[in-house]
Amino acid sequence: MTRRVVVSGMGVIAPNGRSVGDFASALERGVSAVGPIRRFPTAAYPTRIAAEIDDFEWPGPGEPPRDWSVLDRIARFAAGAAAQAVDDAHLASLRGEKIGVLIAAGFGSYDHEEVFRSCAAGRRDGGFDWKKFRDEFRCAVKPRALERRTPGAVPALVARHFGFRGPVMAVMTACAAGTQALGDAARWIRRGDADVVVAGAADSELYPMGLASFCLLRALSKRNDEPQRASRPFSASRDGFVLGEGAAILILEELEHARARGATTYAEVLGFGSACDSFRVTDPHPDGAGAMLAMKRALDQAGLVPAGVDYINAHGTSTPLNDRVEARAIRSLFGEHAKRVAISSTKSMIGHLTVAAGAAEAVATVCALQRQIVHPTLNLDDPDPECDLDFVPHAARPMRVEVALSNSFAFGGQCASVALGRVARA
Amino acid sequence: MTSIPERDELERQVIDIVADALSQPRENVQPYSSLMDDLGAESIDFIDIVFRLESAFDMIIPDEQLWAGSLDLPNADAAAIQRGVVLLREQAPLFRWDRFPNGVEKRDLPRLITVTTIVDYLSKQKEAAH
Amino acid sequence: MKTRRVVVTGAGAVTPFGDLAQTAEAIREKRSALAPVSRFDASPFGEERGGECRSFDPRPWFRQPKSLKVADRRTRLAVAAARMAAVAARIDDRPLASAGVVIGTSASDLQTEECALAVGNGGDVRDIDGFGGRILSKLNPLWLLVNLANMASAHVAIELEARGPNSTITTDWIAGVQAMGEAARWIEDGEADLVIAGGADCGVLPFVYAALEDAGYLGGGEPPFVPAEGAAVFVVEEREHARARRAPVLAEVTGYASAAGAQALRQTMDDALQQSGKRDVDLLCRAAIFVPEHWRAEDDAIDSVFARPPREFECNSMLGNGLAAASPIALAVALGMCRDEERLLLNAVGATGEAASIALTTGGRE
Repeated sequence: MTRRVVVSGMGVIAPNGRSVGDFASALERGVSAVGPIRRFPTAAYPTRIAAEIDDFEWPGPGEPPRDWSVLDRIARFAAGAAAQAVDDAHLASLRGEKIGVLIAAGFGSYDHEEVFRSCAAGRRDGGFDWKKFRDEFRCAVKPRALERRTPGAVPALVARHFGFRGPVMAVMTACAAGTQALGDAARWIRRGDADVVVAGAADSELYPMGLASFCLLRALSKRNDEPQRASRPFSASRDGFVLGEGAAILILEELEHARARGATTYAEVLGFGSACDSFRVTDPHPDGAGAMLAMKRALDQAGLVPAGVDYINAHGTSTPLNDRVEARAIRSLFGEHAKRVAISSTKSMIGHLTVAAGAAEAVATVCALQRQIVHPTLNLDDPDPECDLDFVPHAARPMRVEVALSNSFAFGGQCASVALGRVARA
Repeated sequence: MTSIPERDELERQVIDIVADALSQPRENVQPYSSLMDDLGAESIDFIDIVFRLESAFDMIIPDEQLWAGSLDLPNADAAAIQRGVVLLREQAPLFRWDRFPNGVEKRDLPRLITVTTIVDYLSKQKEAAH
Repeated sequence: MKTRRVVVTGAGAVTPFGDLAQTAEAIREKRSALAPVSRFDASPFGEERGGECRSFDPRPWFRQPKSLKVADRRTRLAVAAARMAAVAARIDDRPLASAGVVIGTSASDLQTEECALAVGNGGDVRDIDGFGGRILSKLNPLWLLVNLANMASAHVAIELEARGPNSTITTDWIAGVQAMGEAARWIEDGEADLVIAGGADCGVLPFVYAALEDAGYLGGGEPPFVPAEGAAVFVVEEREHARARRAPVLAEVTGYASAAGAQALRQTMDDALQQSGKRDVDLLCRAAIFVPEHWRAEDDAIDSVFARPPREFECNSMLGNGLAAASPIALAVALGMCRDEERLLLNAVGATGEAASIALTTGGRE
């Protein structure tokens, strides 16, 4: 008897909304959350725009996690989104059960001053003064440095705050991680390792070193004078992605378990696929081998054929390479049906949430299934003829959405795809 | 203030940089070897090579000017690209033009980068600085 | 009754003693690999020693030598150990096509000295305009790719030409054990017949020492906590798939669990043993974190799970603590020490309270 997996709660902290309702509504209205970066001076940077979240305080319910004041942004976003989702799914009534936590958290959990004051202090001509480095670190260090240094601390933090006793894991397949987390959590439930998993992702690369590292890779759009038009997936004039930040958490639950306790069932996780291009360090395989394999594996696990898919929430970063290759992979896998499936990119409005992208985009996809409306791809004024598929330009489209795929692809060639379906009214 | 040497020495140094960045033996790096098609370069390798050239010759190389990797020329139209390609065919008959039986499109430009195109570009910068 | 069973058909390791065979021999002879750290002066942090893989040369293991320039230490260790495991499992000579890859790791190398070079002399790092300008003009532009945790899994896949499911686990120091456990789940679930899984980590980094000192872990214990680097990677395979190709079988994976919070380790040991079908084991590979609270917590968990404490094994005292690689390395060595049909339990514990356990039964060598 196969166990089925549903989404029974959600939480989102995103540049365009700090609740699922606000998030979905902003996406449907086609509102861009991109603007000039406010948090730190960017005059020295070639890219000076992003989809930012202003200072984020604990929204409740209840007390914030221990050490809230020294938690970095990523941990705060994760905890905040988890609180929303846990509340939404009424998990408080499940005290004592083994609830798992599976969260992908980004890399940048270090503090600018801790790191760079130490580096600067240790620097000297002809060598490095490690005593000065260490002494400066002792001055600059904030509490619990060991916990903050590892992205693995985020799921443990969430588990501890809510008192969850189930399996716990952090995945970090970079930009595929948000989707990866959902697939892994669904597997845990299918196998009976848990009946409920708090699953999702959180990230922020919007700090001086993070922004610099992406600028150095020439990955970002430089359309600084028109921030809201910079993220333009699948358009001919796309020139790179726009960084976003935030977190999204989905409560995944075994179907009968959810029904027995009267939980809302927003959507079903039908299948998951993971693959690796195994080609180059960052350039995607020209035929999208990894992308195709991931999508195909998700569909196979769901028992579906491509023609059964109504909507694809694309990875759609707005880089020249990804969008071309992703469109090609969709055409190859979907054949005739490629022209009929609706495809849109959430990144066109909220930018690239990097590690968190797949989770936020899964929430967008669940909302599409729930509300039967697909959000648009913004800024598609000049569609790239090499992409040439239906990317739902400009305006949201009410339509029948029974089955959807959400894609996430990473530097290194890791590809993840999750198939989500509308839960039939019982 | 750039410090670009004369052509022979410049070519020697560029070959060193390309060979090192792409982990290729020096003898593989011929003047008309395509960095992508013959020497295995991907987008990040062009970024790496530009950085090494900038460090070696104390200069800035704006992104668009090396046709670097996946950095498509932002405003080049098809006509401008074709004019450039015609010129290049005349200058570089030894290049593997047979790989482009249907002509060269904008996204093929990174495949045209060779040691010779890099040296030509740097020599022009050297002239312009004087 | 499980329809798909999971076996281990190859193991590879890189440790401060060398490869797996060299490591096993050194541990039999009870030697110590701990020595003053060579790549930076660690004495200001209260522990001048580390477990460094000094004789390790990554170059023979990379078919794509160009990858080395973006491969940090743990990626190099992971690729070498993965290829060693593939050789041991007799699958190194072909593209692995649908094989999966999952590596567990925890520590990121921020490339301290390079950052320092770029940040430069003078100026307050809080002057972001100056900071940004210097970083953007002086730092190696591929910096991010060197640090990204998922690159270890990516490079292993590229080197082995593996296009199966691919993941990277970063749950602190339990990540390597989790990678093996998750690999077993992928196989049981039918997502792959073969997965390259293990742990790779480098704890011999300035910011790791700085954070450990801040947590009070360094410079006092008996035995002391000494950070180390290393990797142990395994070929994990569906049992019939292994039999069909007459693969060597080192062990079967019989149980796996993870948890966080109070009593986490007790819970994971219980769960893994319950899945394995028997409560007793012949050998317990301890997490062996040489910090009093962690050591006592593991003692307590062992006492509460076993009526009679089993024989124990640890090698962190000789190798140092390889963070997410520590427990996988202990397993690789222990498998070589056991006879057939012996039951093992492997523990891993993280600094932030996570725990994972894997139960295995050795044998089936063909």
